Amino acid sequence: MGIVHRRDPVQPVAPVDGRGQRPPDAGGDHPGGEDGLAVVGTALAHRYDGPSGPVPVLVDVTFTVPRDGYAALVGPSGAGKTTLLSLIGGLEPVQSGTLEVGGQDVAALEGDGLAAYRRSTVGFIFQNFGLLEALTAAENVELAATLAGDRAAERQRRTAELLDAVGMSPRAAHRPGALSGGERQRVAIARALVNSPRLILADEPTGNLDADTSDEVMHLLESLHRDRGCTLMLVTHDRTLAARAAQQLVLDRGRITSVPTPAGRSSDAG
Amino acid sequence: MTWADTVRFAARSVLRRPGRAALTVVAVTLAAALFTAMLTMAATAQGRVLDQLAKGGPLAGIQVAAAAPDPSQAGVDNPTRGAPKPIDQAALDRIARLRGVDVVLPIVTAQALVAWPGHGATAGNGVGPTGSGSVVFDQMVGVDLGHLADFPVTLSSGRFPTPGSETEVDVTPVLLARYGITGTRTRSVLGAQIVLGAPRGFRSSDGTPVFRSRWTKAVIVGVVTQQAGSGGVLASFGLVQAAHRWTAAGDPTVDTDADRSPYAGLFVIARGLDSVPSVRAAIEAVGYSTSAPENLIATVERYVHVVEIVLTGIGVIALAIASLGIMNAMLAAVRERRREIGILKAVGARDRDVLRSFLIEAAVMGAVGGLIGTVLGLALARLVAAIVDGYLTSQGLAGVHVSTPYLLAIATVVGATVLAVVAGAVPARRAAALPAREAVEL
Repeated sequence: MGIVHRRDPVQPVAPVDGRGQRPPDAGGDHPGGEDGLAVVGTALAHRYDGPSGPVPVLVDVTFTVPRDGYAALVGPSGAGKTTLLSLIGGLEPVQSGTLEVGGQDVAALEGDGLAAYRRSTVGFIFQNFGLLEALTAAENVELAATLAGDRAAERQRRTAELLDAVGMSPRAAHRPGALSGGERQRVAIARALVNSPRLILADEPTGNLDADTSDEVMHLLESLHRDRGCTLMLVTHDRTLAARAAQQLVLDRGRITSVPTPAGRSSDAG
Repeated sequence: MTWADTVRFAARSVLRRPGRAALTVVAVTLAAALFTAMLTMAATAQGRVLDQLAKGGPLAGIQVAAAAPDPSQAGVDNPTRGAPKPIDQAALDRIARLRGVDVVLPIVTAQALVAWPGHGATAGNGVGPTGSGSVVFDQMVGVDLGHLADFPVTLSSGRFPTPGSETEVDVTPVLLARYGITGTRTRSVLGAQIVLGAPRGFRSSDGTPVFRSRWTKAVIVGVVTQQAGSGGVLASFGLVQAAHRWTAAGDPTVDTDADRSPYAGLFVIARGLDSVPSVRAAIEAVGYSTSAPENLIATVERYVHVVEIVLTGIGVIALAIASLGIMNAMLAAVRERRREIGILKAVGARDRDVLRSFLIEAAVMGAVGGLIGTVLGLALARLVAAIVDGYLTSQGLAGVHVSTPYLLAIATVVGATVLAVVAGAVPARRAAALPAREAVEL
């Protein structure tokens, strides 16, 4: 199975500042000419409104994932992993602290700017696949490109390439209900990649899959990370899967308890 | 997302829930049908009652009596008349030339002895021909049967005499009552033969006043109520005019009651409803007493307007209820599709993409429902009009014809679409405001 190497020239390849200059940390030295985005969170805090008052979910979370990094967010249920991933993916507003992705202040984004960030900078893979039941596999993949306003011919070409890359071409015309869990996740991965994001966020991507399928999906994600050079962050309960990442961010009750370095050396969080 | 892509996406969302979409469209369809039918019928009723009145017709007709006007009765719909004054051809021609007059229809009456073989009249005087039994004294009213629709004549049963017929007559329930025939039994007289006598008074050689009648056989073909003239028999103008001339040619010193005016009255149709007062005044200036239901027409106008307002109100209420149906259906859709909307936003949909999608869904349902409903409403209005037309035609009155109100049809479709969009605005805004985090199960 080959992985498509492509960078759509019309898509933003990196966040830019007001002068059109890419920030120093925006990457650019990947051998394939593609690169991921560094993710830097500083003193992030987040809380939800509960019936008996605010419930803290993240408390003073500080971390760095380098560009082209591969990080696993691990921890028990309710530790705040998915919330942190949602903050990075722009699904949740940053309430406190700072969050930079490729040098871009995510907290400052809102409205169309935030939608563009979710559309082009980030590719989000959901535990429950997040496919629209009314659409076929191909249409689900194409949807993200459609939202970007791409021409039909171009987005269909890219959809076909990506479905081929994830081995789903024969099932392109099937609706999600007719696909297995592994197949749905492959489609979801293809959708996450259709706008050539430089940061892949995967929330329990193998949570609903059997062991063999999980392994296939992980290999697919890792090859995407390796071949396309995009940063990969995934949430998992599985310590074995987490161990495959270059970096582990261990969360417990909203705090990062240890921050292993990209080189694999672990240290206590401060 | 481009508009075209949004429309395609919205269409798929509608088709994804065919049951709910169909029910919503049906609600809009029924409302639009009701609205269109109500307004079409109101417009038709207005056209039939008011516009036809404006162009002429029984209620807009001015009855001219063979009598001088009573100055004290000015402005009264049915004034008491002054002294008798014959209406001759010259007077008819003069009135016909008056400004605002469209048609002048002469009415002729004649004294009539009605003999009905086999039937005993309650007030007969036994002067009929041999074998005719008792006869009653009444009057015949003759009008141009080709213009019956313009006269205040209503058919109860049977039919009107064939225009120009010398042998067919209609009779009134008042005349039949004198023979003891009332209620539903009046239908039994259809086809019966009566004998009509026109009396003429003269003096014998010794100066004794004598009456001699000219008898004509006639067949009853219908039962009518009529206000064209005073009399229990309605017949063709020619038949009655012949009887009138026979009677009028008698000795005036013997038959002092004989009406010698060539015409017993005129029925004048004004060119428009607005012309009625001025035409009445002009005719009275010529010297004849007139009557016309001016005040009645004004009242009818008011009532028709009220009916129109009520029908329009019902249609608007129906559309408003349909709008609430759309809003309810779409609010339910938003509740059901929270996760789907979250996914859309998570993969990059802007708020306005979601807003547009929901508004287009509402517009599609409104437009489809409005279109089908308008067609159904027009069909319903035509069906009702056909039934009414059949009834009116059977009564010898002018029928109704529903023209296709294109502007109303377009306005209904556009209105239903706009209302649907307005109704969908709240759900659409609610959907657009949903956060992207709905995509993930936290």
